[in-house]
Amino acid sequence: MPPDARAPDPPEGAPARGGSATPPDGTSGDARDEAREQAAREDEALIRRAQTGDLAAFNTLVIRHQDAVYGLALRFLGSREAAEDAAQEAFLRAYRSLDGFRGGKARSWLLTIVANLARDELRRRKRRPQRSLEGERERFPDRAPPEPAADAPTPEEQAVAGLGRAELEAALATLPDEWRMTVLLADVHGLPHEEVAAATGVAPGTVKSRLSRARGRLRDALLAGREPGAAARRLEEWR
Amino acid sequence: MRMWWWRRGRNGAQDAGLDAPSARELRDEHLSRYLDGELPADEAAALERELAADAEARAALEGMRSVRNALQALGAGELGELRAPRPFTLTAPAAAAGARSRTAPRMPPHMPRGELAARLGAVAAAVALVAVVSGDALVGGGSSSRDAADEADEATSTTASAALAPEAGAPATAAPEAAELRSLAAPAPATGDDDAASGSPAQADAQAAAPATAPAAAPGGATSAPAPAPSIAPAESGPAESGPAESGPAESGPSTAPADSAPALAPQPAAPLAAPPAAGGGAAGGAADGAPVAPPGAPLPEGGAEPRAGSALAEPAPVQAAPVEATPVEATSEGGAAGAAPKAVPLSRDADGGGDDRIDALLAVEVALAAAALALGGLATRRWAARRRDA
Repeated sequence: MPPDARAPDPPEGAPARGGSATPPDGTSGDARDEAREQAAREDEALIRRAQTGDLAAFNTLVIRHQDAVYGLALRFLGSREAAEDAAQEAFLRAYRSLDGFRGGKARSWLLTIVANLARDELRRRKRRPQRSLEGERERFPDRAPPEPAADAPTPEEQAVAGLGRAELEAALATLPDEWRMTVLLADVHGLPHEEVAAATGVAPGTVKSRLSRARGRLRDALLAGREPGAAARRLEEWR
Repeated sequence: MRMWWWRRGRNGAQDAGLDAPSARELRDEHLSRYLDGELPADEAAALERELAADAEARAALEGMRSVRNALQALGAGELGELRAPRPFTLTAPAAAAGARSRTAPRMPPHMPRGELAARLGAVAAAVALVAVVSGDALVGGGSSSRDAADEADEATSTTASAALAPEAGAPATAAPEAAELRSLAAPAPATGDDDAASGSPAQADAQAAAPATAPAAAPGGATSAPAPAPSIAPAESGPAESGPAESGPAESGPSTAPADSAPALAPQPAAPLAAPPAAGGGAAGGAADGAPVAPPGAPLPEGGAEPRAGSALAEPAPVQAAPVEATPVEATSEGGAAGAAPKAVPLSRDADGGGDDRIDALLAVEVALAAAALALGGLATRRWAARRRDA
């Protein structure tokens, strides 16, 4: 094993074995999980009421999740107008398919619906690229155009002067569509990989591969040319 | 040992259905799974040993961890512009529409009130026109002693009965009144379709008369579900049979009285062959009787638009936007008579009713009704077109 002369900083604590998926601030992880469980139970109760025709209950559900639903659509589509349409349509579809809801997390269910709508919309847009991407960029100015997926810039080209949330958002927008959706669902919205697989219609192994490549590309885009430790710290500062 | 994941990761990456991964991507995949706690214990232990000895791998891992944490923070952090710009709650009507669409998907959007009124008005005018013209035709046919309305009633019922007797429907054997009616109505199918006309003795005349009927007919037909009648008629009937008439009254009358659609049946024997313009032909049927009248005064400028109204509801290709210019009454009646194809009995109103004041009055009424039908039909069409544009 060759000695590595460029290894100044020791690993910041050995990576946790096995279940290292817990967030770094693991102290609050349990409390957060508990809160999520509680929220999921409340959601389910709302759905049960909505299934009996209680529109108010359904609208409560909408309010609880509309930011996530809209945010996913906006990050994926890159256009506020399109995201609004997708979000509204998603809730309408959810309402229509209330009967088919068979338990589970309402949040995952809603995100799956809007994810499918957004992917359809993007496919449709690619078939008919008549819509001006310029206009859409205007409405969402600090994002790169959502298109360049196929021939995304090299990581080096994506290196940005200052790290920040906007840079991460911009780097996200350069990912291939399916990678972006995978990252959004799995990392940003925290869906389990199995649910991401179901939402995107691929095998769980594909989700893992997409996730790793997307994370790797984002890392390279954001940290290229930087001293790794410092870049990592700056990324941590976003939190 | 250092590059172990380069070799071991390949299969997994192929499962993913992605492009052949680079060595760097394979390494990242292992790091990513390690981060998510998804590496088997033995592989995780091996990776940790590698990490301890390889600063580059450590940097790659830490960079990836940072990215993942930052992504998670995006989801939990401030929303900023990612906050929903408005509530996406459903209103009761929207929810009801959503629920309805569960059972009846792809229902057309609600028709604006104005358009509905215009369409209904056009239908009413066309229907009135048909009634008057029917009476007029009978007057011209010699039964002038009776009241026009009565004649109209009788005319329609006669037509219906004649139409309902397919076997007896042979051209020559039809009752006189029915024959007359048909002779007036005949032009309509001719407009809708050349094939039908080709089966008739005097297509040229029929077509000549046709244009005049079409515009007047279209607006009325537009509202009254033009599609069914023509589409069914061809299926069941030979061109010379009056059989399709049976389907006529049943199919064509949504809001309009069956009596009104009855006269429309006469032309339908010709319609069977109509393929694309069938909708127009069928739509025209109802007002076909207006043919002789429409030409003189009816303003037909938007004739091109009317057929579209007809075709709007019935998917088939638009009808003939064709010649809308007024055809002289004489020409029409004669042409219609001649072109009445299979069963036409020549009817020359001029010969019969020469200077009859009553007929003049009727003519005026007919013209007015035709104009009303056209205007309303045009209005409905414009509104429909505007709505379609918006959509």
